[in-house]
Amino acid sequence: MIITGDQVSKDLEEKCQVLIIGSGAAGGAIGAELSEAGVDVIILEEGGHYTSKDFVPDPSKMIPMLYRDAGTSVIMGSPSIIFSEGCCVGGSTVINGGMCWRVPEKILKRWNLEFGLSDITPKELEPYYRKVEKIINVAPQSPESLSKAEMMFHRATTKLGYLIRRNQRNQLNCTGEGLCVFGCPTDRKRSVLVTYVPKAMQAGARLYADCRVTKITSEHGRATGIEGQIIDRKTKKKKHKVRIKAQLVIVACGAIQTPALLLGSKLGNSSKQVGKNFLCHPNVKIVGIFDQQINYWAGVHQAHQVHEFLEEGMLFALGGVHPSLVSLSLPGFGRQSIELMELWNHMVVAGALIDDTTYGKVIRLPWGPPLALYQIDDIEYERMLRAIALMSEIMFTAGARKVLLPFFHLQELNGMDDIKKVFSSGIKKAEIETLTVHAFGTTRMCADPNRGVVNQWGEVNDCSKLFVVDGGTIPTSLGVNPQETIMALATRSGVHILENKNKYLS
Amino acid sequence: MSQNLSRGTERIIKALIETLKPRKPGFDPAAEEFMLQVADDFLGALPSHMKILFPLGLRLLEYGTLIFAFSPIPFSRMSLSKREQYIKGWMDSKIPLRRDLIKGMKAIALTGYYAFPEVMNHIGYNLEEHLKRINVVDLNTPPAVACDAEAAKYFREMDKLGKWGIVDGLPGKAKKYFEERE
Ligand SMILES: Cc1cc2nc3c(=O)[nH]c(=O)nc-3n(C[C@H](O)[C@H](O)[C@H](O)COP(=O)(O)OP(=O)(O)OC[C@H]3O[C@@H](n4cnc5c(N)ncnc54)[C@H](O)[C@@H]3O)c2cc1C
Repeated sequence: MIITGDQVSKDLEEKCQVLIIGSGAAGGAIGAELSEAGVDVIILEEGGHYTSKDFVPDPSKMIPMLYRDAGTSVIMGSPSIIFSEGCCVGGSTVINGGMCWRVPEKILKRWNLEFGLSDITPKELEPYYRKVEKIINVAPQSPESLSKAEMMFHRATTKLGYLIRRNQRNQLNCTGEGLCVFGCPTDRKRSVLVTYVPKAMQAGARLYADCRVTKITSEHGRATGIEGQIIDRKTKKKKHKVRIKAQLVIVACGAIQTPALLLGSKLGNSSKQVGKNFLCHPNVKIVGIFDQQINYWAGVHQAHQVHEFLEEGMLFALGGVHPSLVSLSLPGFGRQSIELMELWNHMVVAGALIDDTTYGKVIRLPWGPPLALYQIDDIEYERMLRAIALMSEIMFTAGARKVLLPFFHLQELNGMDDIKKVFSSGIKKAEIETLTVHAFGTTRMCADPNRGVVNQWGEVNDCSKLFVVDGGTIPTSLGVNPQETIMALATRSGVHILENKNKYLS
Repeated sequence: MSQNLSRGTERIIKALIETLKPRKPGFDPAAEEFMLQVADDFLGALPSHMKILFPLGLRLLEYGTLIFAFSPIPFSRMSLSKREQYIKGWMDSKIPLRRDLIKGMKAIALTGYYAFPEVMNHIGYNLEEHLKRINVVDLNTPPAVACDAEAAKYFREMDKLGKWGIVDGLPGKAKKYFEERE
């Protein structure tokens, strides 16, 4: 049963066995796992509940509706990094690109060596990944769903001899609408909203939407429940108080919100690691301009990834978005803007995900919300320049006549010979436009309680009956898209709780 | 009538919209009302601290003319050409914060513009047509129509030749977790 804020007419008091905060990748997966095993589960979600009928291809409506802070979140640094996350039932999976990858094996080796997570092996994770892949329908795209831009990208990278991989995506018979980031209007993208949430509801879980948790309550080092508010969806102001008592509290608010909630509740931080070790896969993007008409938006985006440079910390894909969003990253305004955007059907946007080599942190502002800080380091800076150069090479090989760059000074390249300017123009870090949609590390897993916040199951080290299962528990950068790993780890935590019912649910 | 903007903020945003609005001789759709509405919606959805900071940033733009343009006339009362020059100064500023601020303001002003039907039509973004063309099957049936016939043919061919690319397995050059070892 999903209860939205407008259905609640007075202060709310509830009791349950397991209370889950956040209904995204992690919260949805563990919610279904537990409720299907007969556990009495309540899920609380700050954002609203919407369905595919509400999803329209209009960013001016969808971004305020589905994105936290209307998409204006920023990670402070020089440059600042634009950050997006979902705030709705289904969390960021409702607006994500649907790319699904398992964690690279070398990353798991690192987790073992550096964080003592020796049980999290490929073999151990296999059944959880398999389960997740079945539930969210991870599958490659059909030829019919692909755009001309994907063909040009594939041809060019193959010609250059770079390793290009087909993306598996959580989709069922995707027709290539290219609207993933505004919520899939046909439910073909199998987000948590249309997979795990219905499973949990069918099994009897209760989900309160428009319910913001402000504090996790505790007694004698043991979590006992939460305090929160039913909020007005439009004004975001408090309408009613919420108090819920639970035998076990599971936090799944995402790597940026969770540390603020823990810090505000004064829980889990004896290691002083809450909010530290923040990782975010900074992204850079370029726009290729072609003579021929491409209509790159007509078809699915991100059907392939270039993995040739994965070991060197760079991954490339095409990204299809709405003209409103592309226009923001293009130079100028007024006449310059419309003249550039008249080339819309001749544009192809490519982006690079950069593997982190440094850490940032998330702090809690005195009035509650988190503030993320991240300063890209010299290695990431070098990687960004290289990524831009390599993506430009791909664009020119595909036939682009011009490439628009995410730099303040050097704004375009006009051919292969120009690429060296990326390195020789003295671009400063602060002059690179960056963005990201991934976040990890802020409540990291570690066998040593002095170096992490949770153990390998997501159990908070210094507070019993409290788990964290979201992206924040991932201790290192993954270098690839994280949703599948987040869901697999959350499922694994769920199974662990069920196997130890006496300990956690008594 | 805006719901989330004070009169002062609305005046500055209107001036900003008038200045930033993409247009050229022969194409200048009446999108101002819509752009203002979108700006209003975005401001309403901002978190509480941004609801304070954003109007403050707008005031900096409004009265910053004194410092950055040596003019006693606030931004919203300048002539259009002076405003354009002033905004360019912000965009090209050596101070990253000024550049970031104007980027945020550009986002608030332009998101609406390129979502305006007449504008989408003008730039050739015929999404509705595309959606109508491809959405001819139900959820349980594979897509029947190619988004792009040439691309579909190319990938079918690649598939036949075994050159499309590896589907299964781990990212990068690795193959499957176990098969190589077990
Ligand atoms: C635009 C975009 C594109 C992406 N593309 C991909 C992709 O292609 N592939 C991929 O693998 N990953 C992608 N990601 C990332 C992926 O979606 C996230 O990493 C993943 O969803 C994170 O899972 P999570 O459970 O940690 O957090 P989320 O899925 O973000 O869920 C957290 C939920 O908790 C809620 N919440 C937060 N605080 C509170 C509170 N105090 N009270 C109540 N509720 C609260 C939030 O509203 C949110 O719904 C993308 C993300 C975005 C934004």
